[in-house]
Amino acid sequence: MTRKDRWLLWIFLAPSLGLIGLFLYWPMVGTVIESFYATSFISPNPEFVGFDGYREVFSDRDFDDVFWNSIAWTLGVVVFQNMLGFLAAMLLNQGLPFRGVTRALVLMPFVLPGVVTAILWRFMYDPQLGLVNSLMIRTGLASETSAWLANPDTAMAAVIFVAVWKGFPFSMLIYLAALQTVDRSQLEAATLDGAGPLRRLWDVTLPAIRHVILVNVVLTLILTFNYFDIVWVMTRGGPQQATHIFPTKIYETGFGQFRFGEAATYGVVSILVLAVLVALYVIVQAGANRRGRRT
Amino acid sequence: MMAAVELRDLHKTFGAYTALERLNLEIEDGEFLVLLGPSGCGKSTTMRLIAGLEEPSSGDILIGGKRVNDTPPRDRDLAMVFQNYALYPHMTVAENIGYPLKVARVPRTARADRVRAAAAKVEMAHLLDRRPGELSGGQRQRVALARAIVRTPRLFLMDEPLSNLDAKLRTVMRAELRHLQKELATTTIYVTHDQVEAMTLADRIVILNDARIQQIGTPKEVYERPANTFVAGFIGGPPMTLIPGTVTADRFTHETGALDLPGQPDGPAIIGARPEDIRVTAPGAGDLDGTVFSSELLGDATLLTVRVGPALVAVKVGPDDGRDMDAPVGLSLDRAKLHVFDGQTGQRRD
Ligand SMILES: Nc1ncnc2c1ncn2[C@@H]1O[C@H](COP(=O)(O)OP(=O)(O)O)[C@@H](O)[C@H]1O
Ligand SMILES: [Mg+2]
Repeated sequence: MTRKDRWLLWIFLAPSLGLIGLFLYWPMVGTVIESFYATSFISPNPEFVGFDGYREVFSDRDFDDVFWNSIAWTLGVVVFQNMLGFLAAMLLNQGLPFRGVTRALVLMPFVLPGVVTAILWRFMYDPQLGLVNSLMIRTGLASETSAWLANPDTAMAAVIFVAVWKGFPFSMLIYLAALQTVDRSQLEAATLDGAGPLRRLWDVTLPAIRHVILVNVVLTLILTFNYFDIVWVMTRGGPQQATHIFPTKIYETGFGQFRFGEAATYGVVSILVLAVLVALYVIVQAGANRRGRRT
Repeated sequence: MMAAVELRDLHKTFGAYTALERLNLEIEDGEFLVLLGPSGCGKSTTMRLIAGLEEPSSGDILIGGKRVNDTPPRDRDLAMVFQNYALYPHMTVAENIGYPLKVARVPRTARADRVRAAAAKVEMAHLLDRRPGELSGGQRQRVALARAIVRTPRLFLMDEPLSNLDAKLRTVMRAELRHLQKELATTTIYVTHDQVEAMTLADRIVILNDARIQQIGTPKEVYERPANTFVAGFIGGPPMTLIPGTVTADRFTHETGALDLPGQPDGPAIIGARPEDIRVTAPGAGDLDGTVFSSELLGDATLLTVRVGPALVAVKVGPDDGRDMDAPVGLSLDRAKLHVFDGQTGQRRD
């Protein structure tokens, strides 16, 4: 390509690049700008406050709650979803009977809409009508019913459980596909070398799919951090903020209390967190691609 | 440590498909036995059954006189070399070779010594820190071999270990394998579909086709006295010419002529002649007449392919005896080396 061709290329590309940039990034830029203004229902005219909004938000106890809730929520869901997904994939990969049917059944929670899932589990957790309580009492795991979602000590665990229930089939699918790429003769060689199932998992399977696991974990970190519907429909961030995470807090502050400036501040913080996660994803994915080319 | 292997009525089905039909075989201690046959005939299945990677549908496997059907693979004390080498890509050469020792909890220093010794045997001692991805095909092959010998097992299983190498390297590795096996004197079962490999490596060859043993014998035996038309056509390159016809009153009649064949019962028969057992004569003076299809100089000989009726007959002649294409020639078969097979069953007669 000559120098002139390259110029032409950019000229032709410019309009579409501009549009894409506008589409993708204008909302984010808007959010950042918004976060420097104080806007509320009472004073609809935005007033420039600079970093005052941030100072206020950061010194508020709510922010600490939301921040730590988000971490607990994200880590809890990601760890359990991936572990459960991996275990399920290992089981399915063993060649269970009725594999097709089993796989379809396990996928059910994943295809259920989030709002439906949330409503379903609100019933399940209901102290009077819920299946969870009656099951726990019948099996002797609990002696009296509890209001899982109304108790600040159990609400977070309860929503994490639902998110894991809904999310693990997704991880399972990815892990199952990865497990099927593991070289069979390597596993057999290890068997003949004397390695038992756990050793084979550790020495052959896990190294072979290490990058898939990394990519999948980072991907679920991003998706989980952004999760909204299940938490909002089940608890609205309550009780007493016990399950408020960034998306629910932003929604409530912005559209419940019309404090757009404050909502935008939370938004900017969550964009920063996500930027870090996305950077991690890009790095991990690049590593996986490099490896893919080598082998 | 005695490691004779015995297979008794070994049978294997996959669903309705029979991969191995009641196989009986005895392998002597220290022997280099080659399982030879076309793709899909059940060679790998036999090997995987011995290794314990598959379970027999019926029949017994004995190693060192002990029935091992219910012994898990790791306790059968054997090592296998896979066609694709099956090296662990994230481990170095040293870690790959030492893996069986690591699993067996051999202490680190003893392990390092044995890894070095095994690597030296296959001339890989200078590449211990590389990873398999950084090695050539031949080098990977050597690592796989070293991983097999490091444990000094009582039995080696090798499933087409050379088939991923280029022709030249294959010849080199073949010689090295043969040497190594004699040096270690470890019973070896070797699978290949390449008859040259089988002929050059084996103490004895087992020829398999369609899940059944066709013949067991030394390379010389299977070459000189093939048990049936399958073996006759499979062993030797270029293959033996097989001519179907009918015997009537000591005369064999085929599509394009006839020749004397005393001492054979009347009825359909197939005669076979190896390329080196056929002589070129003037047209009309031999047993068969045809025209030259191609003439290839091999260096120490010339390979003539002669079209006889619809068939192509391979003939080996001297390096200076090449012919022009389409030249008419006669072919005379060396009676003393003629192979005669039953026309119906394809089994060797005599
Ligand atoms: N796990 C299996 N399931 C079904 N069929 C199999 C399996 N393994 C091998 N076979 C079949 O058994 C036959 C023999 O296979 P194999 O022993 O691998 O042949 P080869 O002589 O080429 O090594 C083939 O037709 C193959 O398709
Ligand atoms: Mg095979």
